[in-house]
Amino acid sequence: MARITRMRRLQSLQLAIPSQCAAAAARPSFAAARAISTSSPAQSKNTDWIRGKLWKGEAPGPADPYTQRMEPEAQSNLPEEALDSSRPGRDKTPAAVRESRLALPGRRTEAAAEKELQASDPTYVPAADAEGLEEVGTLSTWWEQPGHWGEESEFKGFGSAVKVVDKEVLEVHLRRAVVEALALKQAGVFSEWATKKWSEGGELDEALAAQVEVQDGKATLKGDASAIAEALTSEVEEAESSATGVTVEEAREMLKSWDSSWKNIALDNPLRFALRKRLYQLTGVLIPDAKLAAANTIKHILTLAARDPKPLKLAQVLEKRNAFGDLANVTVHERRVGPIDKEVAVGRWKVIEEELKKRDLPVTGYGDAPRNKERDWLTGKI
Amino acid sequence: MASKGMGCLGEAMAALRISASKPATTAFGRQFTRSMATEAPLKEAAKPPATAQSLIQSWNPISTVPVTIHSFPSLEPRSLEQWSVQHLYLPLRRDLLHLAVVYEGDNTRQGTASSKTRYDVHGSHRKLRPQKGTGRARLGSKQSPLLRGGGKTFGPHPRDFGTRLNRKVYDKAWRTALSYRYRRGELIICEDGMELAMPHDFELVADKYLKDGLREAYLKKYMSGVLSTLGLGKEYGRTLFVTGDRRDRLYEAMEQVPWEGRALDLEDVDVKDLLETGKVVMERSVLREMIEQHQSDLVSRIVVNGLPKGGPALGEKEL
Repeated sequence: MARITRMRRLQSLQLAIPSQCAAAAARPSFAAARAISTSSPAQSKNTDWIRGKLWKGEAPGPADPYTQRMEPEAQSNLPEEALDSSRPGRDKTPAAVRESRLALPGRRTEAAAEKELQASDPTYVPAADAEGLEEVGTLSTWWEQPGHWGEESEFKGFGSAVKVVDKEVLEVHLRRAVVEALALKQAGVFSEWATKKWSEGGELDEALAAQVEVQDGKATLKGDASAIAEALTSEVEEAESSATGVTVEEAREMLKSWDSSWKNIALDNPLRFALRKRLYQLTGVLIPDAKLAAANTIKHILTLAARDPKPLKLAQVLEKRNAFGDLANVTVHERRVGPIDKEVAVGRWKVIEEELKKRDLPVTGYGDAPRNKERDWLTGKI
Repeated sequence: MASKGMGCLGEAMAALRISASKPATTAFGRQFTRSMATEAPLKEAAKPPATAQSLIQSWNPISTVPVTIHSFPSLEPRSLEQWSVQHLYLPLRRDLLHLAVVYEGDNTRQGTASSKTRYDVHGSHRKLRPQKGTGRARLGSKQSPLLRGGGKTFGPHPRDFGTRLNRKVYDKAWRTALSYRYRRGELIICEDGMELAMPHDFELVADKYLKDGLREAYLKKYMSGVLSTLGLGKEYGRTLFVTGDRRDRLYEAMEQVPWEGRALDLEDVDVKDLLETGKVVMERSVLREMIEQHQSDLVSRIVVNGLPKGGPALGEKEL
């Protein structure tokens, strides 16, 4: 049986079911590259004589029935479709492999032996070096290669994958969470839904449009509370969250339109839990228990969730304070003043660099030369 | 004696007078005074906005602290428990932690180093050469420690390096380590049956068709992704996963990425392990078991009115 025909059939199989493999279509087709694994062809030499004895002359069939080689394709005048339809597809790929969307490597194939190639193509010249050969990594780097790691292998946690860092955006999301919690409370299902997963696809604008009125730490919602609550509790299929696209400018605008009284809402344990959970879901910020318990109002949550600004460097602090501004003989540098800086200061560095390059010496560092070994002796490292 | 007493009294009175007159002179006097102690911020009339630091410091739980139980691996908060401060909010005692870590280290030492003395070295004890007359140094047998191939004079011999530590101290150290992790927000408690859920496509082919290191390479990449998504990876200081028993997928995946953290059974965990990594993720039942095993200083063995005095309740569910 010719092997090439099977390969054909596999190709046709792929053509026949493009809709199922739509995700995998972009990847190199591994099924197409599939062929039976081969063993060493060297052993046929040893078995030739016994085959001759057994068959009394020219033996039929291949010398090694277990080794199957790519053979030059048998020419056919029939169109492609006719060939494909004439032989029903008998794909030997296991069902599990076919069903899985992972891109698996194809089976090992072996190129035609030198002798056979020379027999079929007299102009064939064997290569003397590996120039121009495609480089294929090992199996340990299989998943790193482009096209092999697909969407099906991506992990998605409960928290938002994009972590919100801006305080303003965080405040907008917190406001949304508070409004949603209040809406659930007004709908009377908060105790039931506090620990459940709220639907992510809820409308951001709808939640933010609602007014929050606070009296003595007690808040009431003015607006369409039932609609918000319904959106949260509905079992909608996970829609791609479009709500995360709040820019800092938009957030600032929104913050201006709210008075700050909503931040004084008093917290109890269920509300704390629900807000923490929702905030993690929307922004990816998970406030630790020990910190969250210290929060008594919404404002405190915001303080705890927002990341502290990066501390200034000493040089920046001194610059800001203008600490040595009036001292003519003192300058503040951001970094250590090294030998190169000193040369730059007197304008000699360009010349040195040019000369080093001219002599093909490394401009910085030691180049290929090993480090000073004597230093290691002195410091007792060796 | 009496005169000295009078002197003291005089000094005290003088001090009082100064302190009484202080309010009048504060504005003038402040620029000259310089206290040796760490400067505390002055209280101003308007309350300053609370910082995260001051907020946390203002919180002093008396009886219980909240602990959120998450699902794994999505880390969705699922329920809330209240744990006693005696279990999860002990003050940091570095001395106790040091004692416990040293104690564990001592008891982990193998102590099998062994060398041969001159009496253990194989060979004849014949005198190598006559005592006198050769013009060379006197020598006894060839096992002499002065000779090459001879015995070792004060070499190591197998011994037990183990030290002892009072049970109550060790148990308190254990809970102190847990409390330290909790206080810093580095203790994540998950629901029981913590196991790494793999994609369906992987499960289909995992056991039969991923060979020659393909499966390990997949797990490595997948676990790295999971850890970095959850904020538990190397850049966050590695993570320790503690489960009740071996969970195949989780353990196998963590074995592929030892630089991202490790996974241990409850039996294999020590105080040192709890303190080592950036985050500690454990099952709820593991936390219960740990506390149960390490509360000897809270639980009395003395029976009063037919009942032994038990410790505080272990984690009560609130939500």
